[in-house]
Amino acid sequence: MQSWAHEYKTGLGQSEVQRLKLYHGFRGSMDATEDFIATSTQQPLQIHLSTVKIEFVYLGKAREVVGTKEEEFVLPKPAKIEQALSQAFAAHPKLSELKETLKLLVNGRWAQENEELKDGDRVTLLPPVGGG
Amino acid sequence: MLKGYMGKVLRVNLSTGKIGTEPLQDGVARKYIGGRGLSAKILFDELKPGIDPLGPDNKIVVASGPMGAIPFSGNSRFSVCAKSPLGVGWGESYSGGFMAPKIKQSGYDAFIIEGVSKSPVWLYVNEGKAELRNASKYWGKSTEETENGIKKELGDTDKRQTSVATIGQAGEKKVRFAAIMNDLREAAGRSGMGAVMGSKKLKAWGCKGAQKIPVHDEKRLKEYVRQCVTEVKKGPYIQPLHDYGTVGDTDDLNASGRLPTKNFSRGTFDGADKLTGETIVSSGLLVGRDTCWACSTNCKRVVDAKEPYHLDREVGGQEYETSTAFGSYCMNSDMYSVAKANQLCNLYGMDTISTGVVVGFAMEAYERGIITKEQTGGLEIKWGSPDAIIKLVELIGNREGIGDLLGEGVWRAAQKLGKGAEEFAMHVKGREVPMHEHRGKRNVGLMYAIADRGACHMEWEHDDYWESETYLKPELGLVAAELPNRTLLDYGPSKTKIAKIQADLWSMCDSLVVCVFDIYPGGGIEHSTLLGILNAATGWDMTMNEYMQAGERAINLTRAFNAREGLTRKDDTLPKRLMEPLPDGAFAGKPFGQDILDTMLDNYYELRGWDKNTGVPTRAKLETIGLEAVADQLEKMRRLPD
Repeated sequence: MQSWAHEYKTGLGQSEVQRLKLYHGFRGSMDATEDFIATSTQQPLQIHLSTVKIEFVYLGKAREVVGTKEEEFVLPKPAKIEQALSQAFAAHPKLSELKETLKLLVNGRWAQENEELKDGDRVTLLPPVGGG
Repeated sequence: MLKGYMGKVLRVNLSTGKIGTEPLQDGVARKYIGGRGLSAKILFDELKPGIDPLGPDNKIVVASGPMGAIPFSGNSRFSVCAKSPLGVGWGESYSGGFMAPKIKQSGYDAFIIEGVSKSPVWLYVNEGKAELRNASKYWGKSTEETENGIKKELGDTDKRQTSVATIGQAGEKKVRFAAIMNDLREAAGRSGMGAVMGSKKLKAWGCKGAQKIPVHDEKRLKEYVRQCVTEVKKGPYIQPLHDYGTVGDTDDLNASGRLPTKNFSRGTFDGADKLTGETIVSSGLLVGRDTCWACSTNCKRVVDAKEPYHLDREVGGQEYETSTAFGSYCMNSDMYSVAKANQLCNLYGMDTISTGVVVGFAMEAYERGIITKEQTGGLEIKWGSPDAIIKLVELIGNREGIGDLLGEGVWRAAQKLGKGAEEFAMHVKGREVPMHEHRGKRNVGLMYAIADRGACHMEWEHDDYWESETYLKPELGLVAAELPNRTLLDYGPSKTKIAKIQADLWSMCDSLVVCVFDIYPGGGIEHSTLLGILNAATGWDMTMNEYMQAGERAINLTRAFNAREGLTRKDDTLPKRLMEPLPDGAFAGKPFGQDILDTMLDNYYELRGWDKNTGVPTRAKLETIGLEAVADQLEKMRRLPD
């Protein structure tokens, strides 16, 4: 298990920004995130956090609105699907417009929002697929 | 004067060479609309039951709709109907491209083609006149060679001056799933309509002209057309359809365990990621997107490559059905061979769904030793072999070697092979099953069983859309009461009711002959908008109730057509394998058993007003929708339920 601070120091790519947002349950603007990142850089957090790293797979219309097919999220334990979804919807407001129509798979099996996620789980978001 | 229509039907007798024009009466037009409905009316009235579909008594009806040549997305389809040589009853097929407006602009709403020509001919329709021309020089040629030859013969200088629909070698040789190709890459693929053309020695037809279609209220019509421009993009399927085509659905269906694989024995395929719409784009196989007439969605794929297979960008790229039929269905993850097989089917003129299912069937028969290496002429037809798939397509297109047997379709081929081959022949009513896994969307299983044309995936929108309230429409009767519990596995009465209502709506789309991709729920164009266009074009005061009833009437007519041929409830069934559970994927272990099918059939028949024992419409039902004469005829033949 690695501390959040360690992970943060290893690089500041998009996924790390995402991790920061997740860690703090952040829902606000990117400015606030950047402020937090700047502060954290000066004074790295010393706490250790147990996390799970999961991957979202966006298909069909979901892929279109998110702009990518796969995206990694790091969540504090215990992490349920509904928490992961909240983070994804916060990061991609247009995705939240599809919320009612999406179906969920975890590692290829149907899942409910209240299920707990494990490290390495792959969560697939399926919009309706019709005849064609 | 009839508005929205040209008011004329062209009748061509190939036996006598006589060509005539018949008026389309307003009462007939309003009741049967066009496309599916009009064709069902004509063929029910004019075909005798029991005729040989490949004999002189069968007739082909080519039809547009009342909104033909009005430019809005999705309004680019035409229908081809006849008794099907694949099964034992009704046959219908639809195609896009540029033919639909040209049928109208050449001066007609529909063509009725009957008899058999002594020698190959093609039909030229231009500015309200029609003639039969010698097609001997095109006989034996591919669809591309024929279309290009006809345009050269006419001296066309513009690619879109004439729209040509033609058969290839497969139609000439009466491959039972032969397609009619138009505009090089569009197919009226299903039900073997190309074989019917071939049996009549009609190689092609071509439409040219610029005749104006009279409309009732042009100003209002333009307002509705503008509305379509805005509405269509609101459909959730439109942008993905543009970006990746229908083949973009591959990864979604594989992820959810619903990708038909290995002759419907599995629901997932390890190589699926190599076949997706995204892979076709990122690999560079996709070199462009193309369109049908007046459509802004641009879902058509243009593919090109020199290696490992030489492709021809003029004759189309794979869509979902084709990609899956030659891909996971045959355990093949090579998208280039899929592209090649698709193009060969287009050139020979063959339905890619049926061809893929036939190839998958042959591979399983070979694995089981039912088809031997001696029968294949030494060809190894092992699962996943791209070269074997391509060779089989060529053999079927030419009806050579084992291709002659396979050109009969899986139903007849299995009967001839015996040794248990019927167990893995995936067809309903003789027509090969399309590429959708009904064990993970049960209304599709009902659709496969019930469709009068045989196994079909386009009678109504699939279950996924009805799993939330988002796409339901109370004003159309699609309501949330007793909504299924979002498992895709429900099969209760409310879900069947959704199927019935959607079937009426999509049947109307097939009579208006519009593309359902652009229409609610996947596309954004509302049925109320289509109704507005219809009324503005024709001057009618049709209500939504009458609109839906016209769709229902067409469904009852095709059902009556089949009842007259002796089809009953026993024919509304599924192959045994499709009732067994899948071994893999998200729906593993969940069968679509006879008990489920029986429940769904009972509910569906009840909603339709059909007799539960026979599956045939009752007199009361037929009279309610103005089909008294149909009831009389069924009664006379003792086919009407007691």
